[in-house]
Amino acid sequence: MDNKLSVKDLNVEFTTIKGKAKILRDVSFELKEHEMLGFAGESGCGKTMTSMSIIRLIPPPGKITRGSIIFEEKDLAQNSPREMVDIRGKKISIIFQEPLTALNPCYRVSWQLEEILKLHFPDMDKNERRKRTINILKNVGLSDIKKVLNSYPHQLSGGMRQRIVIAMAIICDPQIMIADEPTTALDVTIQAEILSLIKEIQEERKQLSVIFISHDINLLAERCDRIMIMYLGEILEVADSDDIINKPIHPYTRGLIGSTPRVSLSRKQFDFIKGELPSAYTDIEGCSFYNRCTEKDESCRQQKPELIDIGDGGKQHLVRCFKKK
Amino acid sequence: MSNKSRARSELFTRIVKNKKLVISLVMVTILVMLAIFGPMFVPYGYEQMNTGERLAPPNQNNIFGTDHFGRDLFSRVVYGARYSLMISLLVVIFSNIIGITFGVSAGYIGGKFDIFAMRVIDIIFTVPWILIAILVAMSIGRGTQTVIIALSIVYSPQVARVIRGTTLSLKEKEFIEAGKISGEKSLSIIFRYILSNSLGPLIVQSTMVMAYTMLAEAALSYLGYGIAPPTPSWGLLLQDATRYYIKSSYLVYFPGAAIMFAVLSFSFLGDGLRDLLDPKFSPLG
Amino acid sequence: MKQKLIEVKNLKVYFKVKENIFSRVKDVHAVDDVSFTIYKGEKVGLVGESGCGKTTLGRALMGLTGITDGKIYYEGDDVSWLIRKRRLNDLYKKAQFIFQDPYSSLNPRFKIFTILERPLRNFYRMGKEERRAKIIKTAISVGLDEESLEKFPHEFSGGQRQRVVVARALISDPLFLIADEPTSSLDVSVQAKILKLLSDTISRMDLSLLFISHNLAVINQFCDKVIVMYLGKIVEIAGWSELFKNPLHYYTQALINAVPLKDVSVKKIDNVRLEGPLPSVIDPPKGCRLNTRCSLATEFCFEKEPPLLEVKKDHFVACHLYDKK
Repeated sequence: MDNKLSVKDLNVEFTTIKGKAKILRDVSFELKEHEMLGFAGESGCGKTMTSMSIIRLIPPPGKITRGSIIFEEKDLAQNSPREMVDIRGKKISIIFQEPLTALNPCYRVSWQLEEILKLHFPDMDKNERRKRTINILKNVGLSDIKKVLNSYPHQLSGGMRQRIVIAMAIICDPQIMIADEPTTALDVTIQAEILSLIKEIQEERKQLSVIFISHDINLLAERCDRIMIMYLGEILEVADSDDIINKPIHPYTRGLIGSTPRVSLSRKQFDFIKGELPSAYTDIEGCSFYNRCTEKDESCRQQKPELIDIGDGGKQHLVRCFKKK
Repeated sequence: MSNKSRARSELFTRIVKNKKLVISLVMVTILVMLAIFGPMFVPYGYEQMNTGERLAPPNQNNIFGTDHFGRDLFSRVVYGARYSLMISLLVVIFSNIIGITFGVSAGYIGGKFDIFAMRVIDIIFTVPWILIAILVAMSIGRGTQTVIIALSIVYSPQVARVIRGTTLSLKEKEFIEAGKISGEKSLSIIFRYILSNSLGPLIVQSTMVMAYTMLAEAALSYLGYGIAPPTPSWGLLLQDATRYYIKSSYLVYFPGAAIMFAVLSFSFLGDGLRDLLDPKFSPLG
Repeated sequence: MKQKLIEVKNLKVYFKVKENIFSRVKDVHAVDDVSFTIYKGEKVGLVGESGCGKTTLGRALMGLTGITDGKIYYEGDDVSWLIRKRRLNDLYKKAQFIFQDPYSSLNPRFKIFTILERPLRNFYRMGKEERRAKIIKTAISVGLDEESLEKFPHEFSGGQRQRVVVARALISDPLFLIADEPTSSLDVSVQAKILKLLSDTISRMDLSLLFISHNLAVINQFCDKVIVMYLGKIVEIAGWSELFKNPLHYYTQALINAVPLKDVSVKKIDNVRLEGPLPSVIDPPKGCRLNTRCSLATEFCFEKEPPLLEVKKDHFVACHLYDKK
């Protein structure tokens, strides 16, 4: 089966006065057709930067120094800004954390949606645009659509705004939707609704694959098909959600899951990962998790482990660790 | 490398890379050296007459030439640096005192007091500065103190607004509340929490006031409201030149160039410091 | 016999607000007639979504906001009077506050030593040497070394800064700590360390803690007792395991349901969904605050507000369905 997106050896660097910060180090992964892939990791791991690289919105002074991002047989890393404009919002869309700042406060909802259609489908007539706009708002579970269309963003609740942002992301029927912490700024009960909505959309649209970024691994495990664990710009583990949660292999993954509290009727000791995250400016020869790992030995410091498939029974389970062969 | 020394070398690099900052620092240093040590090395006293032919253009004896009393222009320009800088410094200090008092109390106390205080500031801001200077001169006569008092009042609104701005934005920060629950009294909060975190914009504003003051003092002295002769303020040097500049234009150029040099150096310093103290880079301001 | 430390009776915190130039001044019922007790050594979780009043309640207990009505007792002493009279220094010696954002709750211009010294200088008469010794002792107890005392906040990571915040809260020997989302801005792996620190400190110094959070999983694993708030009112209070085993209030059930990836021991409650938007805090609805969103609401729920009643031992709920009358 062809992959929707194929990233190979992606390297992104930030050059500042402090030196060169390696934000992404040899990141390689595939986004399959019709799947929801979760990016998990803590701050600075590179999950947001990976998605920014895909749509080529890396903030300066960062840039892609190596690698390819193959989408629809073209390398997005080589695309010109003009070519990317055709893709963003239309073929690959993104939703961000804070819906209030994602929407233009000066314009009504109807304008925000129709602008996207005008940009990507310039031949579409006014009636068709209206129809599509109304339809998409129904798709994202909004009622009282006429009222919503006429409202300004600040007149709507956080949950409604995020639904509109999602509507804007799917109105052109994209191939890939990236959701970067879309529920972090929302209340718990709204979060559950938005998560269900995203999952529903992904399941309904056969041509859509979703990349879901979150620091909350429980959240990812509930809805994603596969999860990718990132740390210091590298991918450490990739597997089906169930396997990541129930059979985590990499010491970091285990530490991450162990320190994420879960609602339960029994009390668990709080696990934690000792040590501190090294600076992105340091060049690490061996395993990037070395200074915090409790299962290491000398070879872990000298050589960098490769991402190897140790899955059995046809299920892929990639791990970057010498100890887990 | 420890965190502290890494931060220091970073700071050093940032300074060195900012050309405007480096050039202005050099210029300001020259000015300060001139002001402090210059008068010790000049060939003549500033009121010494007949040092050469009267109204002589630049020559071997008087490198900037002489004025209508035969006073050496070079010596007078160098002395002028001392007066101009000193006056500007005093204006910066006093305008800051007035401005900070109004600004921080308006921001901190808020409410009706804020409205009232800022309207007073607005009034000062809207009255043309020359008018304020004239009013002060009419009350206490002309002179150095007049210039200092008048200009301190004139520039205090800018300081007040900057400080009020920083106070308002800092007031909401949690460390201010944390200070309060640590038992800090209001005065401590104002000085140790608010003002000490407003240094960045304050310093930048002060360099601008230095630049403005030099120009304003020159104008006031030229108009006759400022410093009395024979004290060689640059503005007075320009006033002296008015009668003779058609034939002896150098009488205008040299003091004029000095003023321009000084104003530019502080102006650049302000710009350069503003870049350096960009909020992205803590700890100052 | 458990000793009462904090008693809150009918606390009201209202703020004045004007919706626009033409409207009358109205009251925001941020905290509306709230009563509860905290015992010595207890870790009480205060949970709810945005607008529920939990942060305002925490701040009111600390004297950071004024009190409109009601009483607060610390060890039997009426501190609400102190708060009204702004005689706050006495209150600050009994209770301390841990803020959410470690990046803005420390004065960037103060060395850590100074940050820890200020409360001691302001509250107690101590010799310089004695002060220094206490500062060093407190710093070490939160996991900071003596060298850190000479550094500035920006030289530390988020987790370390939060340790400083905890140290500052402890140094004046309070009886009671209020922590407002103390780990919400931290990475999961760091969160675990800070929670362990808080837990150890509380038991070592026999303190009580009010832990304000929107994160149910953390509350579930960390707190002894849980208070659930909605729109300024307490809807349920129970011991942690009792609350998650038998949540009685519809809102509590909806909250627990919404948490992703719970342990299998925690049952999902069917047919619990919050319909409709959050009502305004300015004009709260008559009767039960949840009436427009609760699918079990009866006519009575629109007329009379349900009182908070103890329906089982140590399990309080404010809902007409459990009110025998």
